[in-house]
Amino acid sequence: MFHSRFLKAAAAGVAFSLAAGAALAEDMTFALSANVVTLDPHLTTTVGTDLSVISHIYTPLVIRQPDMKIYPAAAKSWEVTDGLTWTFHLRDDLTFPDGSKLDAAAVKWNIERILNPETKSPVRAWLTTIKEIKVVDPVTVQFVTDKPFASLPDQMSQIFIMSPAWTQSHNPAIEASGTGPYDLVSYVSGDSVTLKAKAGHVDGAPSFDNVGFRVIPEDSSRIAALLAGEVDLIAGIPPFELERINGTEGVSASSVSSIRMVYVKFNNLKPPFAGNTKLKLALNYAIDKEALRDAIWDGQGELSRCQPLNPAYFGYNPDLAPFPYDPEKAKSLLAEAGFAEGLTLEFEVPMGRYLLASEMAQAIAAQWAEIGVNTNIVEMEYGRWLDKYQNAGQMGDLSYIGQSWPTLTADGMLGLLEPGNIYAYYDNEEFGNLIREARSLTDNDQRLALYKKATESFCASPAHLVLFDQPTTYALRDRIKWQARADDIFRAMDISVAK
Amino acid sequence: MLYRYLLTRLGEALLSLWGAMTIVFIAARMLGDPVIMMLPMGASPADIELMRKTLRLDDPLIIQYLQFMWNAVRGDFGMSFQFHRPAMDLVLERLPATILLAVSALIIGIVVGGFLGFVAARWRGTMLAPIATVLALLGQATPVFWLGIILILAFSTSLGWLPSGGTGSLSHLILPSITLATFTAASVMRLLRSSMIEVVSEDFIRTAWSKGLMPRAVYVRHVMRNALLPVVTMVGILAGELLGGAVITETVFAWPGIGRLVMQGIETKDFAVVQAAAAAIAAIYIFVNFAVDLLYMLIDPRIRLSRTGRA
Repeated sequence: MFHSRFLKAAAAGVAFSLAAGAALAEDMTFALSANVVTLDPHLTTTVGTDLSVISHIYTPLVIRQPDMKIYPAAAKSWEVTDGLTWTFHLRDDLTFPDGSKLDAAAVKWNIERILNPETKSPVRAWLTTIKEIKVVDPVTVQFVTDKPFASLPDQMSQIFIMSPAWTQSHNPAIEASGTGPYDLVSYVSGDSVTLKAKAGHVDGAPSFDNVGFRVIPEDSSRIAALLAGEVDLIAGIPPFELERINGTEGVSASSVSSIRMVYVKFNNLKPPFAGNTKLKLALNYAIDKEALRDAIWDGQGELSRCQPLNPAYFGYNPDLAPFPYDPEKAKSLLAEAGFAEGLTLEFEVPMGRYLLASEMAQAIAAQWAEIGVNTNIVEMEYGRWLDKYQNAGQMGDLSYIGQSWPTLTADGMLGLLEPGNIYAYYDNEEFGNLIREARSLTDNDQRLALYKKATESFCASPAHLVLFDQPTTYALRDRIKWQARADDIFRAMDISVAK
Repeated sequence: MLYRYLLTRLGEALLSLWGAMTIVFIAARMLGDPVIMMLPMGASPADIELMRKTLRLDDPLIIQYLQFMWNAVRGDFGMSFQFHRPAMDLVLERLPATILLAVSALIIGIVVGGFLGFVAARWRGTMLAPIATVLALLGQATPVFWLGIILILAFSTSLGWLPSGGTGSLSHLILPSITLATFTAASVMRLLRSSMIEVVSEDFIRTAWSKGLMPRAVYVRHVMRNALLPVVTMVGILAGELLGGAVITETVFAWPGIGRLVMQGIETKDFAVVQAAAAAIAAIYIFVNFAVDLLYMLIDPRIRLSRTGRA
């Protein structure tokens, strides 16, 4: 009698704890708008797909969290000495599934693999200032650069560490094994990636037990999948869909200003822009940016404040304001610039790359036409446009472009406009000198002061039509909450189950 | 002789394949520069040059061509720039999905189109014929893109009966194959109908009627078998087209087939993938048409006799 009651109670106890354990195992599924091309962290720079998946499996030295700040990851702390030597102090408790440790030797091997031209790593260009890597002891690694590289830690946030031994005997393009919170369960190229939480990870169990990524390239299909309950989080949907999604039960949509800024570049190295600051200003005053943003992007996205930086970037100058919409001033500046009777410009627009670029370009052209600046819009395929702009140095008078710098530094972003680079098309020597000086320093306060002056110099003679931040639109099911990120990275670690 | 006929056809097939691969090689290289697509924005000209050298893209074009051909005959189509894997491996990975979709769409198309075409011809002059014809016209005119999304909205989002995309089970196959089959069915229907109407007015059919045969015997045994000949040819062409990858259907339904792989390859100037996929698709197309030719010989005695030169 007592026996069976005890057994029943014991059985009930076991059943309850099993049920409780099962109830805590949550799953979530992302929908990606493009294919996950490779799982090898050194062979990709695509943040929204490849690196997002990779960040679940592997660990970088440092990590960028949703607040866009750098935090420790595989490294506990780091410092720079004499401007050229960076020392990273590593954790000693990260072990790969094959038993090897994530130590200084492993870090050195990884960076050397990237720097080896035979690896064909697209990331190599970011690390070429590293001249020497020293293993001081198993938990201390040093990078010696040939020039001051103040954003080395930011760059390391996108370099993920693999096990040297494992990589020799496996194909990292389609297999993955790392120190991150998730293990790879399956990778079907073009279709999906499935991850499972590691049992007994040193940092504890993540919020989700199974994480899936489904590739759904077509916007409407992605939205349909969300509404049907097949996926939990989608991004990159047209802004005009947000309202419809918000009106549906069980899902909500919003947007966050991304780190990508959109503008219309002027070719400042040729007439009519070369040396003609008044023309550049006239074109900036002629555009009603708020109206454009509200009409075409449904009010999503922040206006850029007279600089190619936004608050997420180190070096952002909060004291500048966007150019106001003043067509009268634009007309008079245009006359002072010597074009009272108007002018005609070529306007190159890449297809299929930036959000509603075609519509935006046409609206901008219409507003410029009102002050007498006529444009011939030439839409071209992205590869061809990129070749013209970056490779051959043959950009047209005007070019619609969206740019960001993944390490969120003014050095990188403003460096895109540094006179001398073939893709800068900018003739402001004062600007160039200021950023070169800032690059040679490592004291952040000094650098900020220089960037303040550089952005002011930019604002006085802008390299392009300053527009806005491109919004990252996203939608999610009510069962989850996401700390939306501006940098296009999608991680289950930033998501929690809504209570 | 049959033997010599087959050998000639094989030679022609290989020549076509070589021609297709050469044309695609040239066209791929006219797409643009793959290296700037690979490197992040802001890479220096030195970085671009180094990558170009490492990938042997600065070799003279004729050297690249000869290298490509020499490797291709041994099955090596090079490494994909973006996937960093052998290009032919990628193509062969995606091929089963495309074949599955193509075969399903073809079967549905032939069955539905055949049925509608038969009905429209058999009961010509009654109410059934115009209904069938209008259905066929709708099928041919409906844009695949629109139809796919409508089906998803109806059956996935609203009703929840079927998945909205991807692969994994039979239910994933239903919507994409129906979408793809509409155009196939419409083409088969219209061709079969006009072919049957033509055959029905032939002398030998009048002989069959005058022999007193039942309508079913006349239509099925005599009319259909002759009317099917042009339809078989068209099915061969349709099969080749479908196997080439229905890009729009694959994109709307997130179906991991060859069509999307090639599109991605073209966008990123991934020469190896474009070349490998083109070779595979050309080979399939040539093979399917060869098979259709053989089938023709089997079902039409007149052709068999004339080809093999026997009286």
